[in-house]
Amino acid sequence: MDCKKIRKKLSSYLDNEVNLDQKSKIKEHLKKCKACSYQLKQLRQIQSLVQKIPSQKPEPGFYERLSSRLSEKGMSLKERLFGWGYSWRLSPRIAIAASIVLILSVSLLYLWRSSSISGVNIEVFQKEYIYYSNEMSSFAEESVLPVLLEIK
Amino acid sequence: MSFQNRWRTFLKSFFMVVFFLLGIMTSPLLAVEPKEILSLSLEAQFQLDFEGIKKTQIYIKEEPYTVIAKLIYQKPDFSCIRYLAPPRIKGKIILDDGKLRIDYVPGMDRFHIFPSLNSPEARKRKKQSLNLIFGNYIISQLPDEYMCNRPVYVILLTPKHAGNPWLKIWIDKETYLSLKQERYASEEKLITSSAFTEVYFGIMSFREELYSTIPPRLWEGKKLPSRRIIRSFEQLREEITFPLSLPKHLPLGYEFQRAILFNEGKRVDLIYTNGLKTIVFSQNPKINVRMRDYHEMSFKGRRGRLQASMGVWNLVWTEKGRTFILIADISKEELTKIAESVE
Repeated sequence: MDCKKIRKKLSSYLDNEVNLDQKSKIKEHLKKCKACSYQLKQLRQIQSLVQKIPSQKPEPGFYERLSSRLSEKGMSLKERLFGWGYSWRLSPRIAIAASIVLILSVSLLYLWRSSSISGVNIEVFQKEYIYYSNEMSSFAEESVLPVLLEIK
Repeated sequence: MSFQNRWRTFLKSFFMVVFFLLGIMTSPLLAVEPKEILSLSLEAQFQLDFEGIKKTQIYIKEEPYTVIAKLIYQKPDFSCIRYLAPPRIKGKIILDDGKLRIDYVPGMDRFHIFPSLNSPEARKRKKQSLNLIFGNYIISQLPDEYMCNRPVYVILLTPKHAGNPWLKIWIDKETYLSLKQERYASEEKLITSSAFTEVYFGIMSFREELYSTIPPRLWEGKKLPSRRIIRSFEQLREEITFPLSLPKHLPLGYEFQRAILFNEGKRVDLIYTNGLKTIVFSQNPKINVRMRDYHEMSFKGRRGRLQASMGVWNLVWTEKGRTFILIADISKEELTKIAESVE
């Protein structure tokens, strides 16, 4: 295996997610290749740093309080959180129709965007015209031409 | 009276008559030709340190519109225009150091940069366009006058072709600076009158102070938009990425000056002039040009949008996937003829 393939698998190797054959090939490669060994070393450092980050837990009794508040409304926590999912499962026709509408909308938006063209104000061209006039005319009104657009 | 005295009186009278006649004969040779006065006036601002207040009245609408600006010229190539009135443009400043022309409106924080109009190339172009004026106008000199307590030449430019403005220019006899200019639509109808009300020679404002009115964040590191100048259609065809369209008809006296290429050859502006007025024909990739107060018009199977703005026509149409913009200060009939002749 070349370095490119090895580096793709380094993360899996670190997590013990590669088969034995691959594992031995990677090991062999790492013995010879300093660059890939350095890459593995970096990955190990990142992993250890991530592990050191303390996990944040909610305050004691958070889930209980949330559950009791939801039950006050007459629904279980699961129903409240995944209510939409339940309704979709109950009516697959609505789900299919919504998907079609979504696909059509995205396609139309794409078509509109690709056919639409950029817009420029005529003033941009008028400004250039005034500059050219000032530049070309021997007796241009040099103090008036630049303000023609402002005073119109 | 003795013979000697008579002879002396005769000689005295004879020489007086001879000198008088010689004076009459040589005075036209010594006087400056009106064409030369105009040529010298083009370069005058670059040979002076000068400050003045210029008042311009525009008679396009019912009531004249007045613009007042302070103009500063510093030799060899610096100029500044600072607007004092009307209130909506008060404070606007245009600074040109011979390399860049900066246009800044403080209240709106609007900032634009252009190539200098005081550079040697720009001055050369003005001289070329003066030659066009000599071809398209009859130049005549009127009796001298006084302006701001200074003697001035008065030069009249009468158009040879219909549809072009008349021009009357008052030029300072000592410095050749143009102190007043009047532009007429016809012999009688005045369009603009622009004159210095105060002039001060030999005065120099500090440039740093003038530049300090523009916030550095706006112009530090700013570069000119890339534009290439091409002077022949042959070279232009080699450079552009689309088939070139050209008008077959131009009003009398107009000539192609140059083409400006933008966006790596995707857009080109063709510039025509008769020395005093300019026609720009811009060819762009298909774009949506936003306009207000326009009306639709048809010409030679094409549909375009026509808008008039301060006496200048803007005609926009799209054809074969490209957008064309024709801008000119000419009659509607001439504009239509040009648009119809585009091939």
